[in-house]
Parts: sequence; C-alpha cells; structure tokens
Amino acid sequence: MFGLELLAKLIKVLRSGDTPEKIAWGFCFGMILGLTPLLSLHNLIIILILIVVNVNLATAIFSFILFSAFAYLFDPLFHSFGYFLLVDLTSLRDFYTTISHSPIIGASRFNNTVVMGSLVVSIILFVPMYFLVKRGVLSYREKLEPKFQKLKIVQVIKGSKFYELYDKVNSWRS
Amino acid sequence: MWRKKGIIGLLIFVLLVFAAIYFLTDAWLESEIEDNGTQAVGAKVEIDNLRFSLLSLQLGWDRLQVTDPANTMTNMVETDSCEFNFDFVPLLSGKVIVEDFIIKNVRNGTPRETDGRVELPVEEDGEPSEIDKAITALEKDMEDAAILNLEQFTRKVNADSILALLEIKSPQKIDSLQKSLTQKYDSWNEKISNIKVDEDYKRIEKKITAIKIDEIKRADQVITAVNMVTQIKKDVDSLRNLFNETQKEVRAEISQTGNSISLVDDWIQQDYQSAMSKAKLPDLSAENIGQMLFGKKVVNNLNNYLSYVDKAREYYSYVESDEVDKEEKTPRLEGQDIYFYKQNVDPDFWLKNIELSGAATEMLFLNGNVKNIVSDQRLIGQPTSINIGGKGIRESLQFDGILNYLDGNKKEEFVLKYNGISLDGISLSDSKLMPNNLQKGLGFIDANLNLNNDEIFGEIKFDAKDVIFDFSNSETNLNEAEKFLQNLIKGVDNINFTAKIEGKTNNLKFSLKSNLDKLFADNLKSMLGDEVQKLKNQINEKVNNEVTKYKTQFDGFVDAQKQQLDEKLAKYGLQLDSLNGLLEGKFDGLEKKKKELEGSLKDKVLEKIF
Repeated sequence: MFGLELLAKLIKVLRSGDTPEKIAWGFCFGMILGLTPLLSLHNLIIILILIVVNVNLATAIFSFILFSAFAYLFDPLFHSFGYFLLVDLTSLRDFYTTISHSPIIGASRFNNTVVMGSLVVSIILFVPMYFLVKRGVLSYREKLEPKFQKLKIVQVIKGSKFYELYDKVNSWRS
Repeated sequence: MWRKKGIIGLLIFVLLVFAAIYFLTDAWLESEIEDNGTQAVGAKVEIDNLRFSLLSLQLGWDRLQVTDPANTMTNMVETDSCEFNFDFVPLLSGKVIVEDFIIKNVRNGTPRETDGRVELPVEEDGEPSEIDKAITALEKDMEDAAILNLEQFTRKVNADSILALLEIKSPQKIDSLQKSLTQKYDSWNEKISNIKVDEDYKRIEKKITAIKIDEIKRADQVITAVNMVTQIKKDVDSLRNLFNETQKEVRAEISQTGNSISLVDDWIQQDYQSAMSKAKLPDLSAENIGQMLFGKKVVNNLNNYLSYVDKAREYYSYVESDEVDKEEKTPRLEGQDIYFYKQNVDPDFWLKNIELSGAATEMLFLNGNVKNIVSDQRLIGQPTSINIGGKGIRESLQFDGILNYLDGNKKEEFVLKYNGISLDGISLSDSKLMPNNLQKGLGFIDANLNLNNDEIFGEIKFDAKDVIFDFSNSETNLNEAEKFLQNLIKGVDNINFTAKIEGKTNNLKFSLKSNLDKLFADNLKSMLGDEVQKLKNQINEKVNNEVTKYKTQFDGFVDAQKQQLDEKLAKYGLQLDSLNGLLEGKFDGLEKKKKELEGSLKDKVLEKIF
C-alpha cells in the first residue's frame, strides 16, 4: 500500500506545480541518502537540508527508497573504489591523515571504504542526475502527461466512485 | 527557498532531543555502563545516581559497586562519590579525553546487600588468546598433579581395579612388530639363499679336485692347469664379493630393526606410566609437597591476575597502519575502516590520570594513581602505569605496574610488596594436608610478574611468621593420618614458599618450594611411603605379568631368527674360506711341478751338449 501511495504521490508531484528544479534537488539528495550508509555525518547534513530548504520531499523519499533497494548490489564496487581512494591513491594520504585527526570530519567515517566509495560516486552522479531529472520532469509534463490522462484505464479509474471518494478525502486533507 | 514549517519542526525536534537528553540520559547511560561493566566482569556492576551534564561535560555518580565474580556476596571494588570532566574539542572528533578522575574511598572486599551473581549468555568460543592458553595450561597442570587424598590410604586401593580400567597396549604392538619382523627375516633368508653358496661350493670343489697335479708330465699341461686354477679363483672371488655385499646389506638392515625392537621396552614403560597416572599415586618427594600444599591457591590467584592482563590486552585497540591489506569480503554496508596514523595527535580514548584513595584494610590506607589508560599508547608516547601504595601501623603495600604497548609488542610488568598482612582466620592451603585456618599470623608477600608477548615470568615469595593454627573447629573423628598431620602442623610457626612460573604460554613451567616440603615429605614417607611403594610394586607386577609372556616370546623369536641368519652366514663364510684354501694348495702344487719340470728339462739339455 505504501509503495502504491508513494507512486501515486510521485505522479502527482510530476504533475504538480513544484518546479522541476525542486524535484531534481529532492531526487539527487535522496540518491545520496540511498546510496551511502545512512548513519553517516554527511547524511545528517543532507537530512537537515531537506528539512530546512524548500526542495521536494516526496521525490527525495522516493529516490532514497529506490537507491537503497539496489545500493547493496554495488557494495563491493563501493568498497573497492573506496579502498582505491583511501589506500592506493598515496598522494592523498597526507590530506587524509590531516583531516582524520581534525574535529568533526574526523568523526565523519570518511575513512570507511564503503562510505568513501559510495559518497564520491553519489557526488559524481549528482550533477548529471540533477539535469537528467529536471529534463525528465519537463518532458513528462510536456509530452507524457496529456497522453497519460487520455489512457482508458486512467479515465475508468478517475470515473469510479472510489477515485471520487479518494479525491474528496485528499482535498479535505490538503 | 526556506521551508518555514521545516525550520520550526527542526527547532521543536532539537528542543525535544535536549529535553530527552536532560531527563533520560542519566538513566540510559547508567544502565549502559552497568550492562557493559557486568559483561566485562562477569558479575553485577552497579552505579548509584549517575549524573551526566552535556553542557558542562561532566560525569559522576554517588556509588559504584563491582561484584567479585568469585564471591558474589562481596564487592571486588566499591567507591564513594566520583566526578570527572571530558575535554570538549576532542569530542567533536569523536575522541573522549579525561584529564583527572578522582576516586575517593576505594574499598575492596566489602559485603553486598544483594547477590551480585548474573547468568550471562555463553559466548561462542573464538580463538583463545595467548594468556587464555597459559591459564588453561596452568589449570590442567594442577588437575593432573597427584592430589594427596588421605582417604585413599585409609582404605585399600586395589591394583586389580586400576588395571581393569587400563588398556594395556604393548601386547598388541609387540604382536604387530613380530609379524612385520617375520616378513623381514624371511626376505633376508631368501636373499642369502639366492647367493647359492652351497651349490657353487660343491661344483667348484669338484673342479679343483679334478686337477691332478701328480699326473702332469709336460710343461703345456702345467700351463693349462694354471689357467684352470686362475679361472676357478676368479669364480670364487666373485662368489666371495657377492656374499660380502649381501652380508653387509643384511647386517645393515638387521641393525636398523634394532630401533624398533628397542621400542618394546618403551611401550611397556608407557603402559606402566599410564597405570600409575590412573592410580594417581602421590609422589612424596619434597619437590611435590609444596605444590600439593599451596600450588592450587597460588595458581588460582595468578590466573586471576593473568585474566586481568588478558582483558587489558583485549581492550587495547592497536591502531593499524594505513598500509592495511584490502579485505576481499566485508559485511554489507560496513566496509573496511582505514586508519591514518599520526604522531602527537589525541587518541580516541585517553584517561590521563586516575587518582585513587581508599582503605585496603581497617589499618591500611592506600592512595595512588593509574596514568594513561589510552586507546593507542604510540600516539602519546607513554605506557599505562599503575602506582598504588600505603603504610599503616603494621601493614604496608606497594603495587607498581606498567603496561607497555609502545613498540607494537605487548609487555607488562608488575611488582607487589605487601608486608605485615594479618593472617588471622585465613586458610593458607586448599590441601587436605593443611585443613585448618590460621588463628594468628603475619604475612609478607614479594611478587613480580613480567609478560612479554607470549613469554611469562613470575616469582612469588611468601613468608608467614608467628603462625598459630586454629584447631577449635577440627572434626573429632579424625583418622590416623589426619591426626598425625594435625600434630605435625602444631609444631609449625613459620611458613614460607617461593613459587615460580616461567616459559611460553604454550609451555609454562610452574614450581613451588616451601620450608614445609622436607618436613612433610619425610613424615609422610614414614607414614605413607610403604603403602605407596607397595601399591607401585603391585601395579608394576600386574603390568609385568600382562606383558612379560609377549616380551619373552618376542625376544625368543628375535634371537632365533638372528641365530639362524648368523649360522647361515658363518657356514657360507667357512665354505668360501675352504675353497680359497684348496685353490692356494693347487697353486703351490703347480709351482712345485713347474720347478720340477724345469729341472729335468735342464738336465736333459746338459746331457745332449756334453
């Protein structure tokens, strides 16, 4: 039920008045939350940003669930990449040594292979993902949304008493 | 851009967190420390009224009780009110650093109001530590040592019943060895028979006898006969070589079997030793008496201290270098932590100084400090040190310890000097040889314990002076042996012993010598020695009876086989010698004949000339 509700919300978000930028920001922050181990300092900062800054929360939650679902699969890759960054890249060792003993960053778990690997991958993906999602929202609104509304199944659902009731409840809630 | 509702919600959340910390942290932290402490000690650890202030970074409590796991109605340690502060800046890096921790009125051995026993879930055994191995080995040594049980001598020990439990293995082993030797002797016999000296001897002897020197008339006949004898000599020499080689080979193999034959005596000895160990007969030599009297108690105490060292080693997290090998498989989402070692930075945990003070006994007030309890000593360049001491009217104690992990090795050194200990009401021994508590006495301990990775060396010197035993609670219906021992103890007013432990953790040697060794050994020998010796003889006799027939049969078999081979080899040797003799005779005869023919030829030539 939660999944369906989330999907419905996502579609609503795509159709809603929220700007494509806000949706893209929400999606990208959710992606970092989903790809990296949750109990990390950077994720606390991202959660604070999501609460304080007006980005789209529903997309962030959807994106978090989506990326969490398959982040496990990439775990060995993140571990290897993190090990490469932390150990094999010897030129950065002095930098790591300095920050690992500095306040706050020292407690950020950056020295963990999976945290480092997944965080760097999510940061690399952040910018292209932002533009991709933004472009995707615009395309959906321009091209797919009218077609989607014309689908028979959508019209049948929208014409049903159940939808009518759902719509009423939704309008009361809002 | 800003989400007003979010900011308000966040502020409310932060306020709630602070409120929760303010109201709930104390109880949560108290229960966490108690649970972890209980897990580590193996008995209840209780804290009364723990206080934690996030603003002033202060932690304290009214009372701490650590139950003695060996006696759960007594506290191993109890303290009064304590407080200490954390440094703020290191906390931002996840580092806990405490400058001074003052613990006043530390007491030990205080009675508990409730039982401090806890049932902890049995943990799965991992790889035992080096010290764990040492503790197990010492405990096993004490279990294996023959413990003198006086009851054993008040009733008859039946050697038959001990033997019934025994599995005497030598007969089977002897039988199997005999079978294997039979095969070997057969093969050697066959090897010697293959030389066929018997047949060749007759053939060659016939050939030599066929050469009739008397019938030779001409020089060409002499030459033919010499050639024949030379040819036969070659045959005999070749036969001799073959015989010598075979004989050498067989003798070498026989001498190799000597090792396995000598094993028979070892097997019988093993059976005898096994019978003795099952009988658990005490060795009444002076060296063993001290161990029987005080060994168990000393080892138990020593093991306690070793287990504390083991805990210290376990909790000391040695920071790995950044040259760490990659773990191929890590748990999901956990990864591998890479440490970046740097000198002169704060360690993750550092308790710089603990000031301790308290009463060890009613008359002895102690104070001292423990410095540098730290997660990585290399970062601060100093080892952990313990210095506690005090002097009372009669007693004095000084305990110094160093736990040094600076160079990656694990080294610990402890020295304890405790003088003037009141021994009133104390039992010095767990042995039935010394069942009574002391009524009075003064004790002096001088001990040191040094550990270097898996090497342990320790020496404990104990001296008890002006000792008076308490016989008021003695049982009235004592047997003869117990009465005898009580009378012996009555005359003792000084007890001293030196216990030593040394070696690697997998091969520790424990020894203990006391001034009572000779006294007890001599008296016990006069009382029990005959009985012990009689039992030993009985067991020896029983073992011998069981194995002697096999041993005799085996010895007979080996002798017979050896004799058979020797006779055969000697006979062949003689036959070859006899052939050589015959050949020598023929050579001499032919030489003579040659000279004879030369003489007659010379005469005939002279006749023709003149």
